[in-house]
Amino acid sequence: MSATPMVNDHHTHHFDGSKNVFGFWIYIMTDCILFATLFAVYAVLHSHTYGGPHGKELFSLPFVLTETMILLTSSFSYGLAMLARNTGNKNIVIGWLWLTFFLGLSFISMEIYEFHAMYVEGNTWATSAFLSSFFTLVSTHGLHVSMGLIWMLTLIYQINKHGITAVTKTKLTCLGLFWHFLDIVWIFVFSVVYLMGAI
Amino acid sequence: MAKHEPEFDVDTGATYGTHKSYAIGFILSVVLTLISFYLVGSGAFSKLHLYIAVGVLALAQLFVQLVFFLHLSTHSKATWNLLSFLFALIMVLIFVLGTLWIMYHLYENMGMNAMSM
Repeated sequence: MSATPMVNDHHTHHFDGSKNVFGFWIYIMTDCILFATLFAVYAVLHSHTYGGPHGKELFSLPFVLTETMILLTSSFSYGLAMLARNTGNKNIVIGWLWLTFFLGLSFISMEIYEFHAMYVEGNTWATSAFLSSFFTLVSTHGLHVSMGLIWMLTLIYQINKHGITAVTKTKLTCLGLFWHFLDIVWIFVFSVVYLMGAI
Repeated sequence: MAKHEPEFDVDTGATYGTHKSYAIGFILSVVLTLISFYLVGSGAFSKLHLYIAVGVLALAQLFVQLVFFLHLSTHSKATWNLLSFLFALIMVLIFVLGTLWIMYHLYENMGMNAMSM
């Protein structure tokens, strides 16, 4: 595949990550379809509040804007990790990954705080069809982000141990696709759920 | 490796991002997000216009992130990435628009008209 010679590491000899990355890309495309179905369900059910609160009464736009900015910044810092990987300096890569991790963790913490606050006020997934679809859609995204965080921790460990090899480079690329993809899903979550809900 | 960086990523076949391209993508995303939130917060337009504006801004940001973060482009060596993306996009459109179309007419015929609430 590559015009440049691979790193002379017998563990990673003849390692060709292109199929791994393409396979992962296909997985992400199927994930797109999963989220599309959840968005469709939300779009159909969002007005079925069963006498409960509408989105307008529940959502705080400054709170969601903060969440959005945190996730967006984490996507950017992951991009910087991807660029640093080309320099071959593993400490810089790991540094950006830690920053990305903590930004992602802040995002998840804010989401859990929001869900908990809604739950305490009695607005649970059992309240109405609107809230069922809301919690399903938003927490599926949150679950993906949480998985990405666990993956990021394992990757930090691997890069720390093995350095930047063809294998860890490919893993970085896959997680990068995943992380940027989750940011794209979030664009539609904040636009469709929070902003259109607040109009 | 560092002296002659390949034009295309070994794994993805996509063009490499640069600091500049990531920065442009980030700034454009932040600006589009802020406009979206500002418009809804200020309530400057009618409801219908706000829906359209938020939708258009979201699609614009989707495009920005696809190009600057996921490096999806027609110049990419990995045309399969783009092809599978377009296929998934068609699926997504069929699912979402098809569902809304069917359910809207169902509500209309049952006299519920709940979708327009």
